[in-house]
Amino acid sequence: MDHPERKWIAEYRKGKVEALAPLVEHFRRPLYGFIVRMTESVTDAEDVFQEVWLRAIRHMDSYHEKNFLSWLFRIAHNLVIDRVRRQKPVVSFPETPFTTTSTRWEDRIPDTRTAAPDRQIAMRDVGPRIKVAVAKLPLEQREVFLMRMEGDLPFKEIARIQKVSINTALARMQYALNKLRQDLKSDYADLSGIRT
Amino acid sequence: MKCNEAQLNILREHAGELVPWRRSTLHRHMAACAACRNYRTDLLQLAEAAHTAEQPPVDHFAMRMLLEAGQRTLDRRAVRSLGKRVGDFFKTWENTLTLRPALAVATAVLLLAIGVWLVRPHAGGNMAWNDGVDQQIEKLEASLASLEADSSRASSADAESIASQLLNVEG
Repeated sequence: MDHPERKWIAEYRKGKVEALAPLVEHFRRPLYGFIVRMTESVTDAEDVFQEVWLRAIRHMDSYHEKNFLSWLFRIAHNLVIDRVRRQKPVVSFPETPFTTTSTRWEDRIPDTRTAAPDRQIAMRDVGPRIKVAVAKLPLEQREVFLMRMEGDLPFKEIARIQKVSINTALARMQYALNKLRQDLKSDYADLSGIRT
Repeated sequence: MKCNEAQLNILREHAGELVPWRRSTLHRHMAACAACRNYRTDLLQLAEAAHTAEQPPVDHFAMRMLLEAGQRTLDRRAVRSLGKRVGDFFKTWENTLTLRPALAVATAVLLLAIGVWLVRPHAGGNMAWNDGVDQQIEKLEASLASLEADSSRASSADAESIASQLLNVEG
């Protein structure tokens, strides 16, 4: 497995500050994707994203783990949890998209290289509902779901970040998926006709 | 295999954490269970949606701030490293003196001896006086030897005079 981040981290540790730019860019999508869905606010997400990197940079010398993204997610997890505790009760889930741009992830599923046009149209309709359904999940379940889906982290890492057993992390994912399937039942039914 | 266990294994397999022998059992179960097949399809569909998630726009200002923070961290690290090296240097000396008392005692004795030697009063003057006496003694001894060698010309009174001078000088 290729780990380009190791090269950038080594270069930064040697004193080459420019190596941070590709490092930040490489992990921008999964990290930002996780944070924006945990904080439910673009402004908060940008703040947390910046703070995650500032902390990571400050403690780069103490980073000795295998999975850099997992380390970033752990920092993000701590920041998000702190923020959620401060902001209780959580605001209601917006029905409108998080951003006003046309680059919403739900609008762009599935991959155009593999999906048939009718499936694309069907999933485009499902997209916003997936987002709302994910936002309705309890915090711990949502976090497991996003760490798996956005960060592609293994359950072993997720369990470590959440300080629970692997079985608990698996159970949270199972609950999350069951709820999403229940919420999106009609959407899946629409899609089932065009499943290959 | 029951459906609940199969679904947990589907999650494990998707994360690449399912051992091979369980995988074959899972696939046998799925071949006969439409509900678990659908569960897996739904999971893959959601994963597909997540992997095409939005790429947030690059914020150049934020990036510049991160690079500046990175530079500050590197600078602080350099200062810390220098301080540590200086500290280590002194610590090494401290350990040497602490762990080797004999060396410490020897150093102290040497310093004491040097101090005593430096504060000794008029050492140079005494040395000059002693040198003068020695030269005088040598001169008188040479004269006495010469008189003894040439006893025919020398009177006993001369020899006794020189000998008494020599005793006075030595005394």
